[in-house]
Amino acid sequence: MNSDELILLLSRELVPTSPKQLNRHLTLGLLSGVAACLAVFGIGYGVRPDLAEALSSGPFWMKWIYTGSFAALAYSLLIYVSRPTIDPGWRPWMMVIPGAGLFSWSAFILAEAQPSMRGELWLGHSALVCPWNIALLSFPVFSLLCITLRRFGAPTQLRWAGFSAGLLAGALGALIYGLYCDESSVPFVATWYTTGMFLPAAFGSLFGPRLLRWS
Amino acid sequence: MPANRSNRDGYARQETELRDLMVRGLAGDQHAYHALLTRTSQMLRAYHGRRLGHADADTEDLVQDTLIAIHAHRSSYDPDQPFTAWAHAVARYKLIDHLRRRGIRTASPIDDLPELFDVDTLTQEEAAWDVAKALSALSEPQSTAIKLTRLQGLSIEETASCTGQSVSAVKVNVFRGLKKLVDLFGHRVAVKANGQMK
Repeated sequence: MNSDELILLLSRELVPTSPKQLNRHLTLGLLSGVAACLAVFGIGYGVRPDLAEALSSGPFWMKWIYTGSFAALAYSLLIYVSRPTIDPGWRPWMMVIPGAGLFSWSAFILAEAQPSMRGELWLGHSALVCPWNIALLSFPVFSLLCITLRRFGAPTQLRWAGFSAGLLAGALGALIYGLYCDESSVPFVATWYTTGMFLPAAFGSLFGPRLLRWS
Repeated sequence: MPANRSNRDGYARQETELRDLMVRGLAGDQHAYHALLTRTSQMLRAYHGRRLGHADADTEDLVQDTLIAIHAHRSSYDPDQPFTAWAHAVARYKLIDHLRRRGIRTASPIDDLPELFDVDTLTQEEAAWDVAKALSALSEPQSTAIKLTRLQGLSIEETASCTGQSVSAVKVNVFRGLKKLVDLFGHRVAVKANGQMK
C-alpha cells in the first residue's frame, strides 16, 4: 500500500475523539490505585492510635504539605509526559522548591539543636524502615498508573513517564503513611520520607522504557 | 540552517493551519484530517529521509508507521500545545524505535530542534542532502568546482584562485560535472513526485 492509499484509509475510518480521554483514564487509574493503597495500608499498618491529637499538631500537617506538594507536582508532570513530548520543560525543576525548603529548614533545626539530640532528630526510631514502608505503599498506585499508561497513554519520554508515575505513587504512599507514622522531626521527614518517595521514582525512571514502550 | 525571520513566520503560519486541521479532525472532519495527514506525511518523509536516506526502503515504511501511530494516538494531542511539536515527538519516538530495532545505537537522543520539523527548512535541507549525495558521484575536482561556483556562489576566478585549478579547468570541471549529474540523476525527479519508492 502506498502512503496516499493509507491516508485515504485512515481518513475514511475517522471517528470523533476527545482530547480529554487520556486525563480521565489517568485520574481513574490514580483513584483506583489510591483505593488499593488504602486497603494495603489498612491491612498492614492502620492509623496511629493518637491520630485525633496528631491532626491538631504542626508536624502532621508539615508531612502532609510536603508529601502533598510532591504529589501535585508529580501529577502535573505525569499528565504532560503521558503524551508525546520532546522535553519535560520546567515542571521537574519545580520540585526543587519543596525539597530545598524542607532541607534548609532541617539544616537550621539540626544546627540549632543540642549535639546530643541531633541523632534522635535525624534518625528517630524508624529511619531504616520508613523509606521501605513508603515504597511498599507506592506499589498499588504505581502499578495502576503503568497499566493505564500502557493502555491509554502515548508517552514518548519513557523515563520521565516512569519517574513521574513512581514519584506520584511514592508521594501518595508517603501521604498515607503519615496516618500511621508518629515521627515528627523535620530532619527525619526531609531525609527518610524523601528517600521513600524517590525510591519508586528511581525505579520508574530505570524501568520506564521496559514497562511503558508502545508501538 | 540559520532560522531567519521568514523561516520563523512561515513556521508559525504553518503551525496555526495544521493545528486547526487537527482540531477539526479530532472532531470528526474527514476532509480536514485528510489534508492534515497529507501535509504531515511530507514533513515525515523529509524528517525520516534525512536520517535514513531518502532512497532507503525503510523510510517510506517508517513514514507510514508514524502516520498510523499519529492516527491511533490522536486523542493524546493537547490542543493547547503546538501540533508540530506533538507530531515531531511521535516521529522522533518512531525513528529512535526503528534505529534501536535495527541495532543502531544512538549515542545521545537525536538532538534536533522543532525547527527541523518545519517544511520550509526541510525542503531546503532535503535539497542540500540530495546535492551532497549527488556530488559524491563526481570526481574531486568536478565536485569542488561545482560546490564553490554553484552552491557558494563564488565566481570562476575566485574558485580558480581558491582551488589552484586554472580558470579554464574550473569551467570544464563545472560543465562536465553538471552533465554527469544530469546523466546519473535525471530519473530521480519522477521518484520524488509521489513519494513512492520505485
